[in-house]
Amino acid sequence: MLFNSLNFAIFLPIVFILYWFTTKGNLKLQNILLLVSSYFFYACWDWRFMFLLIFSTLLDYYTGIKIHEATNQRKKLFWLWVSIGVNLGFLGVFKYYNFFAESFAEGLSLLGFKANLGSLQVILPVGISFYTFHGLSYVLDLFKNRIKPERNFIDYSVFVSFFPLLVAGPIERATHLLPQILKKREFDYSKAVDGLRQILWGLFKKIVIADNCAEYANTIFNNSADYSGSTLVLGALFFTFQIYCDFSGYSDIALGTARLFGIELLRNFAFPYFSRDIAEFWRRWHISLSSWFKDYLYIPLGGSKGGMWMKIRNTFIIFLVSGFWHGANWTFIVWGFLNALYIMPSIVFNTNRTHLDIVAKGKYLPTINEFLAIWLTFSLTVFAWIFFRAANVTHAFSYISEIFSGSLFTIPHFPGIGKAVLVVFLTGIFLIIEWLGREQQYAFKIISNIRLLHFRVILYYAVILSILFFGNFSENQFIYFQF
Amino acid sequence: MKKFILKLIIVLAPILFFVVSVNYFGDAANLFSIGYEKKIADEIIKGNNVTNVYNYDERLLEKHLINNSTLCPDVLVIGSSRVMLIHSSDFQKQTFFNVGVSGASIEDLLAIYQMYEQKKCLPKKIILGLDPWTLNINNGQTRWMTLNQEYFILYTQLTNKNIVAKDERVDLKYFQLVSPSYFKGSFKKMILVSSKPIATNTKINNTFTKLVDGSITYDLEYRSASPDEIEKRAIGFISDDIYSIEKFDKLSPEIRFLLEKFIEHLRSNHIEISFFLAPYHPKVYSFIAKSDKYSKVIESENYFRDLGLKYEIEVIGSFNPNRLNMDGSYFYDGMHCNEKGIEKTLINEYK
Repeated sequence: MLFNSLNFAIFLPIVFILYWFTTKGNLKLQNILLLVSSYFFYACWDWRFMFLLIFSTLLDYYTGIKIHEATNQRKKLFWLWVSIGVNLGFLGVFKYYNFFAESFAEGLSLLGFKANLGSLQVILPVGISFYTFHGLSYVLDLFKNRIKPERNFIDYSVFVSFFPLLVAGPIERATHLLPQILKKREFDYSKAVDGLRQILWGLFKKIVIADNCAEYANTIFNNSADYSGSTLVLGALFFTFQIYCDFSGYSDIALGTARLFGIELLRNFAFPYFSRDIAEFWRRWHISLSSWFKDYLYIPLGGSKGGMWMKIRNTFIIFLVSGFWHGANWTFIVWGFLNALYIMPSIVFNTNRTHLDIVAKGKYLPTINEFLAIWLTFSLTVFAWIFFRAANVTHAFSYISEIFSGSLFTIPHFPGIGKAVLVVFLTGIFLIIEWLGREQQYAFKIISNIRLLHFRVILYYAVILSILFFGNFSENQFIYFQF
Repeated sequence: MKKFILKLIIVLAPILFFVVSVNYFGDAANLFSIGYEKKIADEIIKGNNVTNVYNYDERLLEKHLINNSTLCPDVLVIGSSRVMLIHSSDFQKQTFFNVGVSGASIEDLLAIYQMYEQKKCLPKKIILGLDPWTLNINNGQTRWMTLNQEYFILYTQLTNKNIVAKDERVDLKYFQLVSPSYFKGSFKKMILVSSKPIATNTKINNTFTKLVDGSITYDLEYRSASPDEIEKRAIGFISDDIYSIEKFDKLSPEIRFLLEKFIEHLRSNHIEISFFLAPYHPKVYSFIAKSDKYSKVIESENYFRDLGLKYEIEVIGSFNPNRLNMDGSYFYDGMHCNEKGIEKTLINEYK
């Protein structure tokens, strides 16, 4: 069930009304209802993978209790590794087996040997990377004594399976979400309005910007050999806005939906394309994943302790793992590697925490220096997205080499370029709203500062009508569902 | 809480009212305008071509045509839009009717034939347009549901499995009232297009035309596209999901079983059968042939050829345009031949 589908538009109000009207503030009933709804939501994708989700939940629930009850460090470690091993085992089989088998066979063939490890005809269970990381953060926090185990299985299952975040995050932490699940939720009018507003903004990003940009990005990337360098640059830009609006749009809908049920999820995006350097970009892009890797991989590896060399090594490790997390393809690994390279100057010169606040805070426009820094960071990001989107590394290199040919200075041309002008115009409007609302939690929240109710309603209608008139209603899946 | 819901209803009601009104009165696919298909059918039965027709239910139109026409054709063409350009002029000494419908799946093939059988009006020959997606259980085609009564009658007869048909189209059509995608089409139709069918003697017109022999002609603008434009259409066709052959993991055993039963049934009624495999545009075919993802397209052609050998059925054409010596000039887009391409395919140059 996609967030941008008619099914979800029916599902959400039903669950919302049942939640607030039938549970009458009873926490146990609220959580049971959330769990049943979440399992129903997940089963709509593919009911067969429900067993995997439930098994993964049971595993972490049980190992969590065992870690807490273990009388010595050795036993704790044993249960921790059971959880990590099984969780990553599932991820390895479903997501990475074919990649490793093929890469191994290719490696051997380079040495003159022939090997065929076979391939698995398996479908990647939707959301597996996300709920696995949820579960892992829980057991790792228990191991570090940051939290106590949750003994109520229903409450714990809601933490893992809460439907707004089940298939594409944000990747929650037990320390943040579990206390909310254990606390009775009361209806809060202003939070519900804010939730709806964020859902509306997420739908605009997904249906109007991402899905329209996707049409042109797909045309250009899938037939890149037929296009000029200038068209390929446009293709990369279309993809840049597609991926941002697709994923942050999803996150907005998830956060808004959760807020309707009285639950606050972790913020996942904070206007990353207005970043002044790559370090800032990574503090603003897919925040829940970046912070997960920082807390559970970078710091255990030693973080920045142990000198410059350790810092550089650990930075490369988390970027490569982060790339690999996105999918079993060398393109993602190269993308991760490129980002690690980009961030290196900040690491070496210790300037990675220079830009902590949003750019031009309290001002209408950035300074020229800020503008140039944003432009440079954005250009580097666009370049890296080419690897992320390309079918394989060879495709990415041929795409880039065509960009830097003489045809870069020709007029771009591709099927449907006339309609694409409208998409560029809408993206421009979107960027202006993002800029104006960059100090808010999400851009469209800026509307809440307008005192006149009528004017606010007109703006809501403007967004709804622009979705209706300019939206792409092919019910395209969100990109991050495949991860 | 109640205040929230009340305010939400007050804000959303005008939008919902607007959407439902546009969808109902604009009615992009003529779901709510009763008798649109019948008007087209009446003109065709009177002996006219009909132009200025948009988004009608092709299955419903064929049903009207079959039930109300007195013609019992010698040659019947059943298949998808890829056979809809086969005209009666290709079969001059016999009576002919083309009952092709867009995106025809196995259900359509069975249901349309069943209507002729019910009418006791069996043709001497059937040209069965087969597409790769005919064998793809995940082809995503649901339009056949208009004819689900007819389909299930023949399905039950062929398989001895009894399935009760239910008119799902009626249920689905009301969903369109609140559908945002239907809204876009309906609004456009409301503002830009008058879709009153126009009877005409000419075959080629400024708008799409349904001809008196059941075949179609595309509108003048679509037909007169330059080679560059046609190539771009072909590139556009493969830029995203390819029509009905995504998730084509296997040649469905159920469909293969049903197709063979259908062939045996036609033979038992002494109907001569030809398979018609319409070629793809060379650019599209070369993309399909190179990709593992679409390997079942080639397998499906091999299967159809084996089936032809097994039942001694003539196989006309090929999905591969190179086998027919056809370049881009024989096409209107990625998967539709022009008339010249259809004629060349019918000559069956494939050896």
